[in-house]
Amino acid sequence: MVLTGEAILTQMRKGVLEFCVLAHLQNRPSYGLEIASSMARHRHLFASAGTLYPLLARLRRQGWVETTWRQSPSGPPRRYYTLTPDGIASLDAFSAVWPEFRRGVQTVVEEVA
Amino acid sequence: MMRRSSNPQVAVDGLIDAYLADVEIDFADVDPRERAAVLAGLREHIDDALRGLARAPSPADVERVLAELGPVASLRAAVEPSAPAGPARPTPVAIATLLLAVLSVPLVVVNAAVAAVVGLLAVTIALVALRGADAASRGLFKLAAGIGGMGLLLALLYALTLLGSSAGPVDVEPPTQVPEPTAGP
Repeated sequence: MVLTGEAILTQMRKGVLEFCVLAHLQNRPSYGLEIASSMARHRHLFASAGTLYPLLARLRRQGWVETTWRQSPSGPPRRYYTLTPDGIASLDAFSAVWPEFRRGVQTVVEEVA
Repeated sequence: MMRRSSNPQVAVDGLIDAYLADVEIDFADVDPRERAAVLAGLREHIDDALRGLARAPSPADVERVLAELGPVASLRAAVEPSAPAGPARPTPVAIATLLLAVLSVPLVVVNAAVAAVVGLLAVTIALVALRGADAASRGLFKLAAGIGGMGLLLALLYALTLLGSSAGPVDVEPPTQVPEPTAGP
């Protein structure tokens, strides 16, 4: 069996997309469409906006994000997602190991190629 | 694809409701609170995206927003653990248990006691392993439990039949009368 590029990306997204969402929320609380629009700028990172909501529900269950309602300038109140202290700590842990991991993968792949 | 209504608003609502209903079905086995959060998030995303148009959304607008959300079947990928590449295969333990269970059936006519032990072993392994088994192995363990149970039952019935026949009335031939020797002259 040969994996396609999309199949490989699907596997890799599962490991990193949640931390990208946490990183986005590090700057400020954000609502669904805003997070989706931000992630959608990176095509390889985010295949479809719909996958964001199961992910956010899981992050909430894990206690990494919490939700609050804020008034919207155009329409009903919006659900905003905010990082919790556990979410911040998890993002810090990811940020600490990611550069070395990325460098390792890059080095090995380049050596083989 | 849903059939569009002639009323644009009805068609818009119908498309959104159909999409969310499909998501609800696909997430039926997910924790109800998490499922509700997913549905609420999707609904807000759709409403927000359509509100951004600053005009009454057409069915084509809704279809575009739903296309951006992606196929319903793909949403589960975010909550499910990584699946191994390729189709899932049953574990060697599951295959061995099934073979053991199948073996117990013909063994009944050879040695009922051995067949009962093999059948019982297969049922026990299958039931213990069933809890932690993946979907591919689960089917085999269930089958093994069924066949092993059948082997065990057949062995017991066979043993009972043998016992019943050996404990029944024994045909005894009537004693033959031996003629007394006649006194000689």
